[in-house]
Amino acid sequence: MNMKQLIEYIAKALVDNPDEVRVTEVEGEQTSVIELRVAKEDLGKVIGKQGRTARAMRTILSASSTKIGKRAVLEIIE
Amino acid sequence: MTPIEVEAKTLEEAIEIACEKLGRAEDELKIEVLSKGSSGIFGLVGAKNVRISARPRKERARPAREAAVPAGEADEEDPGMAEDAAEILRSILSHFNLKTEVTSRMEGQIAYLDVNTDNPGLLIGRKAQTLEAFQYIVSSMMSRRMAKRARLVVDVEGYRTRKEAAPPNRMRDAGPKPRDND
Repeated sequence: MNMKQLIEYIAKALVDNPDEVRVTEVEGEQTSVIELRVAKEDLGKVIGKQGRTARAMRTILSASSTKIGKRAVLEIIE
Repeated sequence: MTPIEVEAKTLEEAIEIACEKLGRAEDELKIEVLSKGSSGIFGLVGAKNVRISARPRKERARPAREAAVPAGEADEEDPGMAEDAAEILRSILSHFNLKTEVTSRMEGQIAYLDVNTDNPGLLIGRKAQTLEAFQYIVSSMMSRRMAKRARLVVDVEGYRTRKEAAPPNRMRDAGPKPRDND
């Protein structure tokens, strides 16, 4: 639950249309997939130059998930 | 100034080395990727380094413009910037099950955020990549909010200060590169 809110918070602060940010969590046994959807024109904002923003979000997400002994994967969905 | 060429395992490393060699920040460099490199098979066989060329961007008479603004006034636009940035970082860290405390201060135009925590290793990460990620995300958010580039430095338990103070690892730096071994 924390991980979903974490991504939601970060994504909303980066996009032009925060109302269109949708984050869902698909929980598996060991791995959770966090799916991030944003408005089409905001896609670049959550990916960043050469994927830097996406990479930074993934890094922060993995750090937050190690604490609960789970793996989390961030997927940005077009 | 003629561009320099740098080779390293990853693009980030190459840029870092280029910054060090030229004594400039990343955004003051014009960077061109010469070859992308590949991690090869299992990162062992056929690994190729990333090659980039870097040269300083032309200074756009920046000193002159700064001089035109009376000292002190330049900072006046965003006195609360450090505290705003600290607030963002606190919100991010609140999703971690950790005890954390964020302090902030301004030094010139740069905001410094220092995190105190019971688990610094987790927040710094391998090769400080988690620390860099926090810094990148917080400055992106702040830049959006201020509609100009926010300059800030995130540190965990004085990690960066320690790194800066540490002498370079001479044995590592003096050793032959793996490819010189043939």
